[in-house]
Amino acid sequence: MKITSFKNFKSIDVNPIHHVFLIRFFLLTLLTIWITGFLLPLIITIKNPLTNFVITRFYSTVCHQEDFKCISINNSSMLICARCAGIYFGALIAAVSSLFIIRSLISKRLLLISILPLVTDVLLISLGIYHYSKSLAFVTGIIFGSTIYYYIIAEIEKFSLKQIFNTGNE
Amino acid sequence: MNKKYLSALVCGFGAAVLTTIPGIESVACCLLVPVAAGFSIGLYKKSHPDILKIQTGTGVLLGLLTGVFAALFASTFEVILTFITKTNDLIVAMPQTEKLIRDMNLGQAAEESLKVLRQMANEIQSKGFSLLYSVMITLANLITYTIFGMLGGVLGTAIINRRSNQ
Repeated sequence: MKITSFKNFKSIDVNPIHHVFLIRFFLLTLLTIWITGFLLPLIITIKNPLTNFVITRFYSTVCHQEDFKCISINNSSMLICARCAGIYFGALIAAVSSLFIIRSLISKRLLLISILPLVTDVLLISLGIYHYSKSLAFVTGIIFGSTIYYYIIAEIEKFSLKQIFNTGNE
Repeated sequence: MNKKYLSALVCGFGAAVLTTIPGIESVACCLLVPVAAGFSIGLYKKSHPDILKIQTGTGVLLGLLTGVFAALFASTFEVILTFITKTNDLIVAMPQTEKLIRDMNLGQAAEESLKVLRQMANEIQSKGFSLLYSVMITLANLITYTIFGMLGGVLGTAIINRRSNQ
């Protein structure tokens, strides 16, 4: 999707650039809340075991949380593995940078290329060619996370703008 | 039942079944529900050959429904498995939690919530069911699976529509 030309929207009051910015800011806020959640053990000491259990159980639905795969700082571990953390941090980097970029075009080919390092890493570890590396998992996650975020926001913005300017495609 | 919901039901059920398999969960984890949402959109398109392009709103709705069904089925499966085996991740984590509370000397509030956890653990070990635990896992599953289902819906719609264009 190209958001480089807004000539079709001249007659409508809503400013598409502001609208796109609001969507991106909203998504950035949601992403920040999500990331803060799994970083909680690193930020504060959760003194309530029930709260600790609930938060850990919450993130266990989206990550296996194997101890040796989680990034630890000062004996406290993130609630998700290094690869998942990489994906979310990649998305966060993309979310922040998207506030300063109008164009949000990501091709399907680029998306497939971005997932290749991640899949290759998983495959090579599964085949026993080398051992799991948190840093490698984190970096491959960042590459995929940042690309997929742009892909997703392009779709959300396209849908949102279509809703406003009433040009359905079904 | 509306065909729109049928594809979400089938794929949500499939995803929930896969979440109960330990090996698959450790590899696919966060991908299961988004992929199920994508399949749900694919099924929906196959059952509506007259639709050339799926609207993103429809994709998000299908993803949401897939997530809801997956969460409900996954929670049901976990409750059933807990009832049969009388153990789950709470029971496994209890000794470690108790040790942590003793080592860190976290005070009265921690002791109170530990009591709640112990009560849940006792109920699970004796009766195989704890209402509080069941509500907790259902809520956690509902929140995360619907978010990831909607994301899968957005991605699935984009990929399926672009494939249709080619």
